[in-house]
Amino acid sequence: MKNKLELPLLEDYLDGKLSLDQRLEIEKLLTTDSELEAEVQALMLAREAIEMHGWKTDIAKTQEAYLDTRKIRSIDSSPTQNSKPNWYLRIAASASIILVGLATFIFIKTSPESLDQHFLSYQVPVMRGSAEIESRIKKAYQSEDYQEVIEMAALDSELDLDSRFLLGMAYLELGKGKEAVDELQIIEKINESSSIKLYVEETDYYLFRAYLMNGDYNLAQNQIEKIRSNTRHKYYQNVNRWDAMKIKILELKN
Amino acid sequence: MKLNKHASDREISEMIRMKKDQNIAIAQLYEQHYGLLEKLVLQNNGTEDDAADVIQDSMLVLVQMIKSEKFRGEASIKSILYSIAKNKWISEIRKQKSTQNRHESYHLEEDEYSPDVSEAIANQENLKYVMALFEKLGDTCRRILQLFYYEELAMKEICEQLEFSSEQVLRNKKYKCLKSLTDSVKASPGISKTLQKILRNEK
Repeated sequence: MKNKLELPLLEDYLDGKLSLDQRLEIEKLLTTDSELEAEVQALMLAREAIEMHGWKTDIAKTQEAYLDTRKIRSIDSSPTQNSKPNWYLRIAASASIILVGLATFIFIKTSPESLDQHFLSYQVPVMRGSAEIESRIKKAYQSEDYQEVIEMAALDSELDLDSRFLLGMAYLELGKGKEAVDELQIIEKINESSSIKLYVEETDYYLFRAYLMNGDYNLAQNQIEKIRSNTRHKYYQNVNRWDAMKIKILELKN
Repeated sequence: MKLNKHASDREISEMIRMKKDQNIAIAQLYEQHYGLLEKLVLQNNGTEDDAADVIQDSMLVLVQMIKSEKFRGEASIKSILYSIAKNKWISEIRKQKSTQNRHESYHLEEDEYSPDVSEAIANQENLKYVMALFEKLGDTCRRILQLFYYEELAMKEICEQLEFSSEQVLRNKKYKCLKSLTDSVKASPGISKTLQKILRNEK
């Protein structure tokens, strides 16, 4: 390996031009011959540096041309004295274009997903020091095994309110808006006929999300109004007029 | 390829990777990203000249990432370039501070860079050293190696362009030039162990 052919042979090795036997022979030598290894590394570095030097030259030329063009552009577009009378007109025109552009942008960008991304998933409260034995459904929900929540709930003929709410949340997490609405509406009905009301405000908020998921924008709008009408509502800060406007846009786009 | 008004990241990276219309690709990178990168440096106590240096270096790092397939399009070219330029400018400020004891404030905070970006920047620092060794070669050597490895011309074309008497004479000359460069590389204490480690992994 230490003859004049060494470098071209190593180049063929790096370029994958050698036969399998030749390649294996070099690879075997590389594991034992540190001098050869250093030679290969130096060759790889040298070839990479030559190529990068070429790129560097091209980049430098492009940068020079770009900066020259930019200078010319800035001279061409610099204001002259004659252009002063048109100045205010230009600002007004620009502002109009920006407003129209902004409105178009908002209209195009508003989608159910753009609203949905602000939602927070329901988190089961942690009861510090509580000796409460957590239900299996709650544990499955906490470990984000939503399918397990649904399957366990299906086996329970007398689902309590906690579990039913988590079932609704599990459907929401899995993008099953219709099923989530069904469960949350059952909770609303139970609360209407019960003296102890649970998950009232949570139900308001997550129904909003479920309606939105189903494309029932009118019903989602009602939920926003319900939440916004009560400044003490737990989710008052989570929905705003901007959300209401976005839903109106979605209705229009529908 | 005609110069698009706005070539996509994929088009640009393909042009660079395949070395096809690479000047158009670089021009597009400048058109699309120079303003943003310049602003980054200017807003952090840099001058237009500082910005030009940082951007030129950053473009080279990006090219290197594309060529070595470290850029696979998961992030946008814009974010990768921004990350490289930010990293480079922070290093430059640090250098200036230590040499000139400057105490001006700057607003850049170091992000967590992706390992690929950090590795490409470190690799480029080492390559700069070898590029400097290449620049020390004679003019003919530089031209032969450049035409062969960068322009990817065939020996026959190089032979005609540089007016060599035969391809064999050119081959011998190319061998001597490359050998001279690799010998300088091997003899350089400046080549870090880090790069050798990187090269081992690439092998």
